[in-house]
Amino acid sequence: MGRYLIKRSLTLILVLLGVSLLVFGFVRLIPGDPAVVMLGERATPESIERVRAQLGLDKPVYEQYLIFIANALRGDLGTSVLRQEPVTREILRRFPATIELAFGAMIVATFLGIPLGILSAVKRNSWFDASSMVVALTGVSMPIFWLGLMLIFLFAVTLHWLPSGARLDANAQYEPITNLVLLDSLLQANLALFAQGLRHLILPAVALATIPMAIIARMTRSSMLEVLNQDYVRTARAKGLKERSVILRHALRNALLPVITVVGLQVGILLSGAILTETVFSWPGIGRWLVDAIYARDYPIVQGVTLTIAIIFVLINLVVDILYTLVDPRVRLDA
Amino acid sequence: MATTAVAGHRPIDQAINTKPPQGLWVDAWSRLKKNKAAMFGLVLVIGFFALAIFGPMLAPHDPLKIYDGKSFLPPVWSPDFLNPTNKTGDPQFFLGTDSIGRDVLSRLIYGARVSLVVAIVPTIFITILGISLGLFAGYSGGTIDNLLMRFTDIVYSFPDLLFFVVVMFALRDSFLGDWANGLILLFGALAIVNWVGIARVVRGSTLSIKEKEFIEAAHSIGTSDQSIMQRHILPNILSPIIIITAFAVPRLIITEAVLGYLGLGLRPGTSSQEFFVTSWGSLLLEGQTAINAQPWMLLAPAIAVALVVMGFTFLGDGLRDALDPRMKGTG
Amino acid sequence: MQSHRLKLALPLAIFVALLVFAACSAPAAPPVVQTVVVEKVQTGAPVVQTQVVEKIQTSAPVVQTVVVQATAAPAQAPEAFVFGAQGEPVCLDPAVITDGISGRIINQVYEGLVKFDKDTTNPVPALAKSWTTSDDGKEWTFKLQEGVKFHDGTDFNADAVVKNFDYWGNTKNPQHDAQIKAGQTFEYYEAQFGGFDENSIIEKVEAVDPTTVKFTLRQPQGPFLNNLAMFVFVFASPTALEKYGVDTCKNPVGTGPYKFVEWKPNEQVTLDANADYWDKANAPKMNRVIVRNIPNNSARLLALAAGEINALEGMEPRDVAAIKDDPRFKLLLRPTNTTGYLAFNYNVKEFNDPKVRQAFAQAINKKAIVDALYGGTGLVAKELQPPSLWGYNPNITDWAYDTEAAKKLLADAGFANGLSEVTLNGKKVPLELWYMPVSRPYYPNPKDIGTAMAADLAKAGINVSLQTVDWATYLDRRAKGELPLYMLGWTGDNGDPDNFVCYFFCMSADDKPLSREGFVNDKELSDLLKKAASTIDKAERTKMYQESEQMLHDKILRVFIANNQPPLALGANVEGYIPNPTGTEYFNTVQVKAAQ
Repeated sequence: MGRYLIKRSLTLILVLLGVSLLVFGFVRLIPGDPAVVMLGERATPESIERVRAQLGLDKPVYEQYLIFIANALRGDLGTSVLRQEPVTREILRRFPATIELAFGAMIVATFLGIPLGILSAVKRNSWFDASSMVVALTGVSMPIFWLGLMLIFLFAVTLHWLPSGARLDANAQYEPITNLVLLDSLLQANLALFAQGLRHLILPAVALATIPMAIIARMTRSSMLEVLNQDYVRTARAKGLKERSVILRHALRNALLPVITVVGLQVGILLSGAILTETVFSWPGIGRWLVDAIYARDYPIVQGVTLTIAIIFVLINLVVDILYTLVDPRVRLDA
Repeated sequence: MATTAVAGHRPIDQAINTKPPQGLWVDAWSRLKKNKAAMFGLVLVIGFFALAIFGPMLAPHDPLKIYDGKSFLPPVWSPDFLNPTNKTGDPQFFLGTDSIGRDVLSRLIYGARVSLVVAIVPTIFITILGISLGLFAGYSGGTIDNLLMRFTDIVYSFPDLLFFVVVMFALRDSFLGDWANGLILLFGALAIVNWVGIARVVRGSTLSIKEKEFIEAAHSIGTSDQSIMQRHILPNILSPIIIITAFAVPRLIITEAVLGYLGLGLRPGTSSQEFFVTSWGSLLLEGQTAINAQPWMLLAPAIAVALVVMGFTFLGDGLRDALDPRMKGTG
Repeated sequence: MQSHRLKLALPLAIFVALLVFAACSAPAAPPVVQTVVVEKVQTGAPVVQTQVVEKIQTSAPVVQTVVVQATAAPAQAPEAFVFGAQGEPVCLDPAVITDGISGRIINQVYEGLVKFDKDTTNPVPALAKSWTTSDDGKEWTFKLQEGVKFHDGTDFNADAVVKNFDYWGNTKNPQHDAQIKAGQTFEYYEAQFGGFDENSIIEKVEAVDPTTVKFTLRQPQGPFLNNLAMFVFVFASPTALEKYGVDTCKNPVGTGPYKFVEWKPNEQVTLDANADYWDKANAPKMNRVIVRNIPNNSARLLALAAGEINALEGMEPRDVAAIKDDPRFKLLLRPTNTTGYLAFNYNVKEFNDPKVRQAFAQAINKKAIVDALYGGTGLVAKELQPPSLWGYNPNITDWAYDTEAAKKLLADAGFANGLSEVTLNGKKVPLELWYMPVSRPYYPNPKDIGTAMAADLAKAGINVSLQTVDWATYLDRRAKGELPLYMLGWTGDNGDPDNFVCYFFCMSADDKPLSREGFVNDKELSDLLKKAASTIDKAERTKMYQESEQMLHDKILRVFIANNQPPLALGANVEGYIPNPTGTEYFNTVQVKAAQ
């Protein structure tokens, strides 16, 4: 295990180098000179040259890359072109919003998806099975920008139960520590703020959770069905064990492996898929920031955010692989 | 293929316990046929294909024809609560008209074609690439597994959207981007981004299956690796593959809509002679801005997408069950 | 097995019901919301509750009193006015911005010498009490308000005005230089005053005494006062400028009715009332102004319906019709100051034939487009200037919509078989009509509008293919002259015709065609407009601008499609909101009344 971790950490560095190279190259493939975009229609050739020099765009590309990597290693991801803000600081400020959203969605998706999948498998071909599938599919076939608006309409406008967007009320008093509102409010023992943050999180998290939830539910169902037919489950039943314990103790554990892979994959989708949710719910995360930056050709932001997302993906994959061994000891990682 | 199987299923069915096992697929078909849900799914999927192929014959109107002064019409049968603008419908437009006066039903029918292609072509590519790489990685293990998985890490950790945006921005004006209103470019981008998911799932399942006794048994009798992968592992990991694939279809249809949302979707067609006139994704997108004023414009494509997704999922589930040897006699 | 079908049918029905329910619940139901408002009154009014508590001590039927009092007592008015903006401000330093979202906030925090009056583009006194101008129009003397202080306590005086102008126009000014080094530009200063240092129309700005400022111009400028009224030429505290430098973006300090409190990125900007505001007659009516960033149009309208914001800008045209008669909302139309057009690239050989251009002008059914796609807020355009501008020519009759005439014109020009390919810079290219990927005030739904235009053109035998690309690339490629035929428009900055006509049709100083008019080479028009710009007499200028519109019409240099009156939606309880044609208004008059 220890050796495996070391090996993985080493490959991790290679992966990150690969990603950084890819990001760096890709960003430069986007047509449109950032200097031109920044200066707008009234730009003069001189002002364009000046801004290009300012952004370091007049240097050869490989030199730009080396500078980018050298600075990134020191934690400096550059300065935003449009707003002159240090990218690292802004990522630290905005990423927690996305993490909170993705985490909330993941909780909704797994805690609803897995039980739904188990129940569907156990009550196979029943009314419940078909309904849960239909509900899951409804979620999948509704684009987030539509589902989100519907949720807002129902819960914010008509019922007035929940706010329509943003992380906190407009007049909320919040002194950020980690920028994770829920965590900070707990650290500050401010339960009212926590409740407010939670209320704001519910709708976007549910909207974002629909697709992963559907996939997780379906995957759990099929995986469970497979396992329920295995000999050891029959044996367990034959031994007269309670159905509940057969399912939860024996079947579920074995059924979880593919589910874990899927959950891991969904985390990735959640992080980058949060963009639309963030737009519909005015959520101040990095997804929207990234899209705006792409449109404004704000290279430093695009590079910085992408690299950060990549690091998180890679770490999640590592966790997923380690979880494999915990759930299924037969999988040997350092084989 | 379907008809021959139907013709031949009865004797096989009756002889199932006495004769030596028939081919996997024939056997599966006979089981599939009994599964009403799967058959329903099959009907939906076939209907979808038929709509895509014969659309021009079925559509009552030219999907691009603008009927002046007929914009914004609700369906005649629309209940009042679905009709906030209080216009009266016109019987010749069964699903009403859109904001510039085009027939929604005809657009929906024509849109099936693009959505089918957008969903199916990349799915085939994704599935083949994903399964081969995932199987290979999971089965080989060790360094090969490590390398391949780290490669998927790189592809996977690169945000989809950035990739789409860059590809669409960079290549939109190239010959690739011009081809079929930008469709070919869209396929490529969708496929490149999406194969990783299947590869990882397949690899995960393979890791677990290859430790099973029957694989060891196969090894011990000298079965070749390729044969083990194809004949022993693949059939056992079909269900996650089917699920992911069934979900890939709606995801691709919706991704196309999302790209449109970001201004990167297909170009609108200007002549109904073109092969690709509009897509369900574009219709969903047009519909979402009309949530308050023209709800039916969104309902129609949303229900269409949902039915197709349902079709693929029911069929996929049925296939999964039918292909599972342990399910004999059930379903 | 028989029952299986049923098992499936029920969930299917549920699913369809879900979809239908979700979709049809969208058209809002007023009674529901009204109930909620009452609830709010009961719970959200601490003042009322205190009164109630006192009563409770003396009266016996406790519960009854509470209920009666809570509903009968006048509800407390909201403290804050919350505006839903379409995006994030770029920077709150007026000197370096051009975007309206920043401009709207800047308008509340800062003030200039003059400002636009209410819903017009007439300059009226702001920090300048009065002004005089010399006969040759080269000297302007402003008398300043006395006793005005910036939010940080610094005195506002002639010196502050001089320092701000130095910051904007003097490239040797250290703060100016620092901004340039940080990649910022003083874009509007350069555009409105001709450049920096010696290139600027402003030769010098002097403090005659603490309350008198004198401007000396290198040449007279017709729109000078209108330029000064723009939201970018407003004064920052010199102390703060020195202290914050390039960080002025995040630390705005002006003299305005509201002062800056906080900017949460991608969330909101909060402003508080300036208790010491100098102009008591126009003191802010609310304690607080919050500008929230809600990027999605539909979500923004829903936030208004939910009562979370009080006003918004940016609506789907179709929603305008839907909310028009809804008692929960007030719909305001901004006086028109925008024109959407279809522009020809004159590097395309075919477009140099006026017959071809006239065929375009007559093939497009503008009225149908405006009626169907502007939600009732659009007007058919026949000139570059919107009708609200004083250079607009009321005597021009637009080219009639006539498909047959267009066909004939095309045949006369040698395209009897239609036009689907053109020659751009000597190369044959397909005739592409480029539509914008984003919605702008002049084209709220460019894709639909482009599609409708393409259909009209096709009827006359002009077969265009529709194209678009992301906004930045769109502008870039258009500037490089790569788009043969494109949709674009203009929103006026300062209410002067110069800002519309000369911006597009004045050729460069050495009389070279510019990209922004599609490389049209018309020296006659350009000379007329340049002359108009340096004339002071308004009657004379009016004549020249009307003449220029006549030339534009006769030569069909461009096809003007629509003027829009961009809609704003307010909550029913918002009063005193006066939309200004320039797109940014003053919130000091705005008041949110207590509901009911």
